[in-house]
Amino acid sequence: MKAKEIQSYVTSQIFGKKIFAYEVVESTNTTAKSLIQDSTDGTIVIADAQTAGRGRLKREWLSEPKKNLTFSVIIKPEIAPELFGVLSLYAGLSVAEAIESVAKLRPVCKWPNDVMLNGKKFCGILSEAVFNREMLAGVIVGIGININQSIFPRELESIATSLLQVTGKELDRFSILAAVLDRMEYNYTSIKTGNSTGIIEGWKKYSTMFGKEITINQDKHPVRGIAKRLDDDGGLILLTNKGEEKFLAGDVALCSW
Amino acid sequence: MDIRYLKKLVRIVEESTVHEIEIEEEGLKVKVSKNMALSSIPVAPVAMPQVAAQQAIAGAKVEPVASQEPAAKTEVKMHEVKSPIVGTFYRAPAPDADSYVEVGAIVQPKQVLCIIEAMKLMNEIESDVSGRIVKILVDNAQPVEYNQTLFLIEPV
Repeated sequence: MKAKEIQSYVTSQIFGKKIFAYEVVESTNTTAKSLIQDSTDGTIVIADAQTAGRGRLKREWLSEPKKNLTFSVIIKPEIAPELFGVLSLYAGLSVAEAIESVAKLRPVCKWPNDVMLNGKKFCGILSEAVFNREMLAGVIVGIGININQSIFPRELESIATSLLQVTGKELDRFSILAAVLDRMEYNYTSIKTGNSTGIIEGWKKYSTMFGKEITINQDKHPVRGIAKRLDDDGGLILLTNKGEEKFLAGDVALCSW
Repeated sequence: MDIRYLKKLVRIVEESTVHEIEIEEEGLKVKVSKNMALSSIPVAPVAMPQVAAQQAIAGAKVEPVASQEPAAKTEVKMHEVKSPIVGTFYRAPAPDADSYVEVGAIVQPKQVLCIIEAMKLMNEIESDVSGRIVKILVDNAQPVEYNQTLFLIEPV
């Protein structure tokens, strides 16, 4: 994988201007972390394969080499700590918009940061903040998108999918990367100004949960209620039998994604 | 004479049954003595004994630098590690993994102490001092508020 080749696809001005491309890394997030101090906004770390691709709480992220995208984007937003949650929505929204424009599919955003097709996950996002003495040094947005992978391990078949599985045809993965970077750069203007409204309004268009009854699992305690809206910080407001309750964490389940 | 050396002397006197230490070094004489009136003061929440306690503390003498360094500081200043965001506190990188740190552990600057998760954004919180973990104030997987103290570290 050559940085120059990838660069020829990139249409955004800042995002993807600097690309670190590798054949194999442990995890692009780990590499990005080591580069964060000297990197500018929109620096990319991308690899054909990861030996220890990971998700939230070290869950494994399996991806067939050279078939998919596994990359990390370094951003250095001057954002108030209380709006950090919006970064998760920002990443999911940017992927959903990019897939819609390139693959002509309509993905569903699942709160807070999953992106789904046909009720299955095709994109995983792992965002990690790096602090330097209580000051935010930057955020690493790790994104994995299943593109041309045709077969998944049996235990993942029911929950994972790829664009190939959905559309029946192979797609150019770097065109998709370029589209994601383009949307990330566009949406970043909202993040930069510390105004979350644009991101939240955009994200809501890709969500199917509002007005429906959902279950949110937080620390193994399920809470049932109607999904009402998102707060300015991206928190989910649920109408439960105790009134309105706000959630900043948890796994959401709905009857039909 | 090093101020830390003086602090150490004060602590030795406080924590021991010794009432007084007198040291002479390079022409400088230092005497640290414990005012025994302290032990007889009742610890009731009324104004009077507090005043008395202050007077008693003032009575613990450190010469000749008593005016620069308040004597008989009974507590070592603990370093507090606070949460920079609202989120969920995790002591380990994964549910089945070992905790980053335990009470009593010696930590270095930049060493990861915990993760705070907010909206699936993972924030590794690092120590900014070298020291010993004295207390972990939050249980695993519990919500934390902005600026809430998570760890007390005794600087080493």
